Parts: sequence; C-alpha cells; structure tokens
Amino acid sequence: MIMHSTQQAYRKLLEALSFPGKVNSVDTCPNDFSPLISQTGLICLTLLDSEVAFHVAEENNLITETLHAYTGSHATNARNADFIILPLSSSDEEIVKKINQAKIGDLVRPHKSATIILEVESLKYGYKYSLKGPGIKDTNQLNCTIRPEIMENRKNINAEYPLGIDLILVDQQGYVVGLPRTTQIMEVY
Amino acid sequence: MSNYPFAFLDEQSKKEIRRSVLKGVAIPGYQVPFASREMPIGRGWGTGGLQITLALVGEDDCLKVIDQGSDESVNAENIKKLVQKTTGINTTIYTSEATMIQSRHRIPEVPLRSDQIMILQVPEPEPLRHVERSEFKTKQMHAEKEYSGAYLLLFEQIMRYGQTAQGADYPVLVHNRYVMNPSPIPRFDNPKIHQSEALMLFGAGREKKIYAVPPYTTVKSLAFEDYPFEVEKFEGKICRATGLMDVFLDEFTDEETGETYYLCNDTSYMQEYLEQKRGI
Repeated sequence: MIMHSTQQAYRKLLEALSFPGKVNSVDTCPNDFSPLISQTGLICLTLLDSEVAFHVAEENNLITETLHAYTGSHATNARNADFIILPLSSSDEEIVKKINQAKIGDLVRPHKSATIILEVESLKYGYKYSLKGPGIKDTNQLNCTIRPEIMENRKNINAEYPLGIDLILVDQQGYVVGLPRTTQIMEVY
Repeated sequence: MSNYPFAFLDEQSKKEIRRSVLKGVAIPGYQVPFASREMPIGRGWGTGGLQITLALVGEDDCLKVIDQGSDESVNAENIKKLVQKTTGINTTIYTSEATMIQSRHRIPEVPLRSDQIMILQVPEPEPLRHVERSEFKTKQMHAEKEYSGAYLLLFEQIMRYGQTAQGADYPVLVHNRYVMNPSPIPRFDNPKIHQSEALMLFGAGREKKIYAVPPYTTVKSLAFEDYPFEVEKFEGKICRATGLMDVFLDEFTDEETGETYYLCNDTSYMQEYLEQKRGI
C-alpha cells in the first residue's frame, strides 16, 4: 500500500536529514514520474500535498502535471515554492539560478523556506566533500558529482543562519542524502 | 479498530506533521508551528508526542512509552495501546529493543543509539513564556536571539534561593542559536541531549509546536560563570531494590516504619537490572 511506501520513504528522509552525508537507499515509486528518478517521485509523494506549492526547474510541463495530478500540490515559481525539484537534466546555471531564487524564510519564521530536491548522477563517486555540523559526529565525508561552484552557492545562500535552504539529493541508483542548512561543507582535494 | 486508518491519523495530517519534523531537524531548537489535530486523548495529555509518533511509525517499529519513568502508568499504557491497536506493531518496556520511544518527562537511563528516535511530550514549548506572555513578542525575541529574559529567570532564582531552583524543564541553548525548553525532564537528563546519538523530537500538541535536536548537536544548559549548571545529586542515597547510585532516584516513605528509602525512577531499567542480576 502506498501509505506504507511513503512512511518508509519518510523515515529514510528523516534519517538522511538527521545524519547529513549518510547515504540511504529509498525504494522505487509505484507510480511513474519519469523523466524524474523513481525515488524522487516517491519523495514527492511523501512530502507534497495541496498545502504546499512546488516548482520544477526548466518549467518541465510533463513533470509538473504528473506531480500535480498525483499529489494535489500546485505549481508556482521558484521564489514562492516550498519545494523546488531540479531534475538530472538541469544545467549548472539553472541549478544556481533556482537556488538563488529559493525562499530562505525570515528571522521570525525561518521554517518558511524552500526544500530543494536535487537529482545528481552519483552520491558514491565524484568530488570529495567534508561535512560538519549537527547530526555529524566530528566530520563526515560525502562523495558526489555536485560541482564545487554549486556547493559554494549553497553556502552563500545559507550564510545567515537560521535562514537558508535544505537540500535533498537523489542519485541515479536511488540513493538519498540530506544536507540541512546547518551542514558546513568543504571541498577536499 | 479496523475502521481507523493505519496509525490513526489520515495521510494528509501525517504529511503536515512529517514536513514540520523535517524543518525542526533542519533548524535545531526552533519551534515549528503545526496544525495539531484533535486526538482521542485530551490536549495536555501527550497529544504532541503522540502525533509525532503516529506520523512516523511504520509496521516494523517497536514502541516504548514512558510516563515519568514508568512504562505502566495509565497515560503510558493508553498511548501505547492506541498506537498498538491502530498499527499492530510490537511494544516493549526495554529501551534497547525500542526503535521509537515516546516519553513524558524522562530520558531513559539506558543510553540511546543512533537507530532510535526519542519523542518527548511537551506541555510548554516556550522558554520565554514566563517573561513575556505574547507569542508575537516571544517569536520576535527568538528572531533577535534576545535571551536575557531566560537568564533573568535563573538569576532571580539565584538571588532568592542562592542557586537555580528550576527542577525540571531547565532551559538549554541548542546549536548556539535557540534557547529551548527540553520538556519537563529533570536537570539530571539535560546532559543526555547534548551530543546524543539518537534524534530527539519534541511535540507540544496544545501549543501546536514541533521542534527537534538532531544527533551530535551541541546542547548547553543555561548557566552563569559563577553559578555553573548542576544536575540533581543523590550523594549517599542508593536504590533500595538494585543498589544503583548513578541513576535518577525517587524518594519514598515506608508507611509502617516511617523510614525514607529510594528507588530508580526508570522502573523498566530497574526491572532489567534485577532480571540480569538474577540471570533471567
């Protein structure tokens, strides 16, 4: 039943955001959300409903319509979205642009900020990053294909804690990593 | 109970609670507002904790519920039964067996692990409420990290009693940003939140707030340089049943002899300890 799939996916997400950098696997989605990665579809089913609004990068109509149909959530622009979905096909420029436009909340209501679901090639290889912050004992290491410029951009938008964005990364193998705004990321050479 | 959906709440309600919990984890110590549904128990009886438990629980979970250190009190039993009957999951009294622990006012003596989730019931989430009655203003104070009021409360206690007199719900500073009520756990349990291996979630049903302390997060109890934070001390006192000293003790009076004696407050730990000792 779908309620058990979303419950299990939620617990993986909660674990991912509680232990930033921990690579979790999420089940595939019973519904077809292509061209999104199946796990991204299940995460959207888990988190989206008519009380929140979402935005898909590059105004991908097919994805937008499917998400709306399955979740009842409404599409909006990047500035007003509670969830921004960046499919694997998004260019680096597009990712940077959407992150810059995302809601970061205000000091009274820092929770009125966007969660960004970013699809990446891999969460097992690529650039090496060292992570620090709540949820991490000492330091944690993340290997992923996200370019350092994008991480730098994330750092800039999260500069004024508690304002900022939270990232959920999904890779092609269906692995998931959470990077809440509290995580400090440094590239390791 | 088959007429109720899995875990009692409808999926829409669960989604909203789940999103609020994620925000709470991302902003440690910040009180995230949530809708707080009507529950089949009264507000103020653990509805905040219960809603988090129901939104998170899955078929493979094993739940432990504690009320003031006891697994057998009416409140704990009823919450456990409600979750059990609407989900069919296993429940336990042993801390190490549980994947989720909902608690009223105690953190177990047995150290928690990273695969466990601690859910605390919160009557009053706002640490500045005694200083400022307006929610509008306290939200502003949190925004400005204006916490002199929280220190003032402790200062006044020191002036009056020569020490801080806040027994339970002793305020903490989380991740060097938000002052937070840890729920009315004894001061004895405050250090267990600091760098905890387990995720800690806090639910205030009546006040409609959810907040969280992720694992491995810095949590400092508020204090002054000349009046450092201290936990309750039980020097020279031991649990009559187990002989344990380094645990939180309850004081009892033997009604026949009038003698004062002490027992572990965490009764399941006491039981576990005694069973081990007897080789059961």
